[in-house]
Amino acid sequence: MPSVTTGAVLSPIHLFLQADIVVKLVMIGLLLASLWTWTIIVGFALKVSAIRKEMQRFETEYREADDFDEFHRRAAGRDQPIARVFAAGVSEWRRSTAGKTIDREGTRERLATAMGATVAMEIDRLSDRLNFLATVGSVAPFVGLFGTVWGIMRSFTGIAAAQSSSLAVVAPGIAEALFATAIGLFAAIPAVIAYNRYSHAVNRVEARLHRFADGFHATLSRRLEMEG
Amino acid sequence: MDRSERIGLGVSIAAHAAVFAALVLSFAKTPPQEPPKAIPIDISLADKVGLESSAPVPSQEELAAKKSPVEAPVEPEAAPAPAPEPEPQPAPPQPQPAPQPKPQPPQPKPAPAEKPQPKPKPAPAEKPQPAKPAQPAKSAPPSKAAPAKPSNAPSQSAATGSTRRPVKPTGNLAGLDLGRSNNKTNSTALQNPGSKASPEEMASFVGVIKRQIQPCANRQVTPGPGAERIRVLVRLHFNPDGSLAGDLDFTGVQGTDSSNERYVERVKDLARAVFKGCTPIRGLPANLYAVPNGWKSLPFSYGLPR
Repeated sequence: MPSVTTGAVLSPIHLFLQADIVVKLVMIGLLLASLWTWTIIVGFALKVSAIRKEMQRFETEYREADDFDEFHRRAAGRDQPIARVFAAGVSEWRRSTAGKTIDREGTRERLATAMGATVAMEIDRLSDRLNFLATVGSVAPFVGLFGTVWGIMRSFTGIAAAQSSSLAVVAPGIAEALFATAIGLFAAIPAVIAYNRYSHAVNRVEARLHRFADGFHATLSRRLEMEG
Repeated sequence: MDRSERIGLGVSIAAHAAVFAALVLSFAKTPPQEPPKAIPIDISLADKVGLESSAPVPSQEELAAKKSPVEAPVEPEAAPAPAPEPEPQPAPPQPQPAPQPKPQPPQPKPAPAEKPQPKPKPAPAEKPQPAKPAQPAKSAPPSKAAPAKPSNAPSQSAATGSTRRPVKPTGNLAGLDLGRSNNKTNSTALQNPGSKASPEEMASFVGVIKRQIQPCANRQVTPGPGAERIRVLVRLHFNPDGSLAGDLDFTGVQGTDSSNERYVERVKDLARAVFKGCTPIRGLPANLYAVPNGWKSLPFSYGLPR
């Protein structure tokens, strides 16, 4: 095939169009995975930075507030993880102190459990997408490799059929096959980097929520003693 | 999917599109390399080993004066006798009948089919003729020289010592040596033709001819479309000086079809112009002229440059 020029052989469109149907499916799948990976990466970056800012502002307001009941009226409705932890603590406090007799130990335990559960739920929601990054990071190279192996098998079959092992016969098949691995790595590398980075970010958010929950728990615990 | 993820999806799609476009553009920008043109190369298969012997025929002249130096030293101090001179002279005529039977026995061995034909032409026709005058004339000097040396030897040995010593006592071996060296001085030995041009030699002088013909061939312009597909087969006859003897023999035409038939005569004229315009050819090996496969008569095929 002397009419095929080198530039055309290496162009992504040509590589894709020349490929076998299996390799095409692999390429499409990997491309979608890459697309979704980057969606998650960008979306998560926006979300985490928003959450950090909200937590910063919320904690500042919380420290400045005189009375948490009054602050709860202002802040509990916000769609923020830290606000939901605060609201969970407040509502548990109200339920536990509504009766005539107050079980202080039980109330403290219930407060800790309620706020801990809310923190865990928020972290779960936050890190919902991260498992996809982990999956893409670990599986995409193998999927790409599968496409490559399949394409090379096919091009070897082509060599056998053409009874010629000249580079012109072998090269397009192998190039298109290697293109699958290239896409696999293209999807996997950002996914792995993002997964490690965002796991760390989620851990920091979780630690911060716990610190806030502990601080609020201490406040409520003090108030419990004063009321008792 | 919340707001940040929708933003992420948009960014992601845009980024992928950008990467893809960059890839396509970068590959489109690289100038499509021309596939290397197939340059036609004329391949002449020259065997390293010819199937037929191309060794030159050993000189057909007898090692004439072999005996003379042996005999001469016998009487060194005697007066330079003219008697030994006539003795070798009858001797050469004796071997001369011998060379004629000689070439025949070696010939049947390497090539039974082709050899006998050309052999009689060059060998008996040319060889004996120069040999006859050469033999009496040139075999005489060695025999003269041989006795002359001993005659000088005494005076030289008296003066310079044993410079000529080997001639005297060594007998047969020295005589053989002397006889052979005398024989080599016969100028016919230099032009001793190879019995047959080997394939390598053929390729060599065909290459010489082609190289010198090429400038004329490059000058020709094609008379019409399709004419460059015509190849005319010609047989050239050369004179020994490299010029063409007579007209070209057109032995055939290849590559004609209905579209270029009318150019055949024109291409033949061009071939004539090419081969006549760039001859005589210089630098052809003289000793391969009239041998089998030599360049006396060579087939060529001529086609216009494409």
